[in-house]
Amino acid sequence: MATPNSTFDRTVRWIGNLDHPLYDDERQRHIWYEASAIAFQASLFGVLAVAAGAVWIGGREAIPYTVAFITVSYINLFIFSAYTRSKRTGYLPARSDALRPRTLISLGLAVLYFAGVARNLEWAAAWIVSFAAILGFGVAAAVLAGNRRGRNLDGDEELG
Amino acid sequence: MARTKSTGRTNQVRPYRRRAEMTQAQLAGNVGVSRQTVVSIEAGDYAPSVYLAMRLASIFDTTVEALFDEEANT
Repeated sequence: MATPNSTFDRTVRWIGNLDHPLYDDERQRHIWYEASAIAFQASLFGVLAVAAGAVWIGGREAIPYTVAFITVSYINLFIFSAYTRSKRTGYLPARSDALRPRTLISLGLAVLYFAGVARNLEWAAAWIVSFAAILGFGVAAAVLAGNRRGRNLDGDEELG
Repeated sequence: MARTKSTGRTNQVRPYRRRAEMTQAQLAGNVGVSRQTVVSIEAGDYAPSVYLAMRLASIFDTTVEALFDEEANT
């Protein structure tokens, strides 16, 4: 767990501009946090939707750009996970919520994207992209699983 | 788990403020928040932090329970 004045903590506070006077009023701070969460979720959907549309409309030339967009999304997800873990807070809902509409929409967009990629590549390249995709999903799953463990740390705290 | 959402909750901040003959802006200035925050608290749209709740209780010379405990105020 990062201490309040660790390099990580100072860095993320600088990136998030969390010491700005904008956050002085607690309700305003609360609203901005909610707005940030909405924007973050929208960007996750948006990147997948744009990437899926781009490979079907733009064809092969669009693939490198979509990979760049998706990579940035993964980095954002990693920062999100690292920050919540540093505060000993998990962000995942219960397992029973795993198949919520938002998850199904994301999976649908991902399938659409990879179908578009496969359609535009030679078989060898399609295999490479598929392998990279599986690797990427594996890394994401590991990050999410790690976050779930981080959340469970709250229950392991000793008294005294 | 107890409900922690603020929306739809009632409180006694407005009656106490009126009794103290304060405007929302004056109260906001006294506790160090924006007037809009006071408006939202009075409307039950925003649940203040424990520190703000204590400042409000202190301003009105009462307790946090008297201001925000729904069961005590029904």
